[in-house]
Amino acid sequence: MENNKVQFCMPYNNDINFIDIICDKYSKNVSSLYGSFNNDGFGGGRALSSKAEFTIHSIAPVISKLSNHNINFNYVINNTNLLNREYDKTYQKVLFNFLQCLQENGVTMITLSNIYFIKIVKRVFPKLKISASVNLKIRSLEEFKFVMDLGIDEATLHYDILKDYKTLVDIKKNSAHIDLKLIPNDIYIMDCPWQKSHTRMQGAHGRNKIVKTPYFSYYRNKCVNIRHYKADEILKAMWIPPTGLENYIDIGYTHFKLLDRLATTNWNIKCLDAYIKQAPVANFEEIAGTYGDICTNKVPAEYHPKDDEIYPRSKLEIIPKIDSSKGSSVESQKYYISPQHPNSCAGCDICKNVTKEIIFFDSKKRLQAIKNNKKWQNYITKREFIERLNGDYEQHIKYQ
Amino acid sequence: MVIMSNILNTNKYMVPYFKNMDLASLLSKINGKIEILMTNFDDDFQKNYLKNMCSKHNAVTKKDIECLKKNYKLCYYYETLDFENIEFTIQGYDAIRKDIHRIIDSGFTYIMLSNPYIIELICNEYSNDIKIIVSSQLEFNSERAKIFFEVINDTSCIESIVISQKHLSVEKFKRMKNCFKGLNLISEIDRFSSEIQMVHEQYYNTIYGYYNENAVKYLKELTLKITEDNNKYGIKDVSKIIFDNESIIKFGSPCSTYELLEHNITSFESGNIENIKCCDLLMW
Repeated sequence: MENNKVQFCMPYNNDINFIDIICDKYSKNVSSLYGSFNNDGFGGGRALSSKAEFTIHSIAPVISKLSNHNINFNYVINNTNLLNREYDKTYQKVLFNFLQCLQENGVTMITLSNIYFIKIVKRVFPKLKISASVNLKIRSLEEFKFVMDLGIDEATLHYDILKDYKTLVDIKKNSAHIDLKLIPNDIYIMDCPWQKSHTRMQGAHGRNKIVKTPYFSYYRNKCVNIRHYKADEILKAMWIPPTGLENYIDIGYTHFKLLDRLATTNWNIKCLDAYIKQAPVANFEEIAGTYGDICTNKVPAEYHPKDDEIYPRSKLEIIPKIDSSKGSSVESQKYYISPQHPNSCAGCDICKNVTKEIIFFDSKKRLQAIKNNKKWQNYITKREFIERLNGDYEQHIKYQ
Repeated sequence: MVIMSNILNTNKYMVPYFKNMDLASLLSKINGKIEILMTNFDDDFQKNYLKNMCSKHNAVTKKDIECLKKNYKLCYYYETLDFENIEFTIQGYDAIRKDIHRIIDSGFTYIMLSNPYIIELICNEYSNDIKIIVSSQLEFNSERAKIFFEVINDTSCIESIVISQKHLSVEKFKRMKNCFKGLNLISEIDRFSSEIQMVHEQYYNTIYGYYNENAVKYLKELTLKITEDNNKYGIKDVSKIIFDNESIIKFGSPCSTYELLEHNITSFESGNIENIKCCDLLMW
């Protein structure tokens, strides 16, 4: 199934070839790209590699190419905590100069996740469009109205309401001119208890700081590991498989924002294709960057993980197979986005039962991963780990 | 909705320590129900954060601790969530561990935490030495929070959770009680809680951000606006705070005043919950 009404907002991964492919083949389906420099003064979003060299100097040609095809570029400043820098006049001046520079280079929309920033940016840059970040956690009509009153132009609604029919319908009815987006391809744990801390860790990583701080997959591990214990957390999680998109289109949601800024061009295009075609996928790795390695450049066949890696991913994460073509999967997707589905989990067994039918783990590998994770969890609070994380110590930890 | 019978008020209280507090007088008014006193030193790893700067005058010395710990269980405020990843640097990690050693050596029974890595650090390295109270900064308000603990190796030192009143319903509260049977659930009675997440988060981000005068000015302006239009900011009224007779009731903030604590705690004790004032709206 292909639906030209559906529009996607794609991540910019700092590969100009990606822009060429989008412009050549997908301009009908892609409304905008989003991204940020690998380090700016504000931070936010996924922790980009320090090797990436996306800067103010390289943004102009990207925007120029995109605008020839009526595709916008949305610069993301979605740090969830600036620790009060936002109130400092000098810091505000840095922000204003930065936005001025972005505007001069063709940026017309920015994503913000700080209500104080929204207020002052609206005042100083009235022509700059503002997109309310998913990190503002819009999960109710009241929250949507509050942010609408701040003068935003579009909003990405929070994952937690992806299975809350009533709230989605209410917000849509009251959205007026505001463009609403949903993110379908993050396997976001329902009521995630780590979200607040995870976004702060990412935000601090992406911001220029005087003190150099390390980053490791502490929170990613929590969220992936819990699915080893409870596979039904995958179906309880707030994501939409490509085959489930039509249920959202039916209630007026036609604009979707796909992840992942860290993924390769090849992966992002395949993921976009899957969502455009609304076709079943057999492997989570194909659509969710939080599973496996293929979304980044580490192709499994060429990738030989070592026991002494800071985050030995292949030892700690098992990737389940998924059969989203099965009838029970399609039916459950319809149920999740129906008036019958409760707005918060009522503890029925539907997710559990469907999980048994469509999610497949290698049980031996799964048990081993659980053991390995316990070992890793025990290790990460030791000083030796911190020393290694900061790059001046060699310590070997053996996993089976 | 409050689920408590005023006649059977068996709640225990946890309160901040104020330098000018008259504990004997306060205890006589509330039948000695203070279970836990909360406090901190003025020179720990959180010293430059707004909350710590604004409550510096109430920080304790080792001498104060020696005296207080004879009569009360002491809880150390270490609930800053965001250390900007400095906790993962060698210097940051060492500084935090130094603080933990000092807290344990001084005789604190509890440490209140919200940073998940520091929670895991205590669980792994100090589980026999101190007990954890999980701060409301983690916003646990449903039984879903259980998964947080399921991927920590040893949670035996986690004793209590300060539940977030935000979007908390009686049903959710009951399910939480059922789910966390071995843990104490603590209800904050007089703190700021907004049903609009971005307002709630911006407020607490500011308190737990670095001190600067403009941030305090922002808090003053925000709380003034909120006082004028409670509804717009989704403020949860004190009459809607949820707890039961088994809950530990947490009062106040070290940035507030002893006089307000006394007013709120005696109002609660006498069943006049509607008289309780939100300390956040008065303390900036």
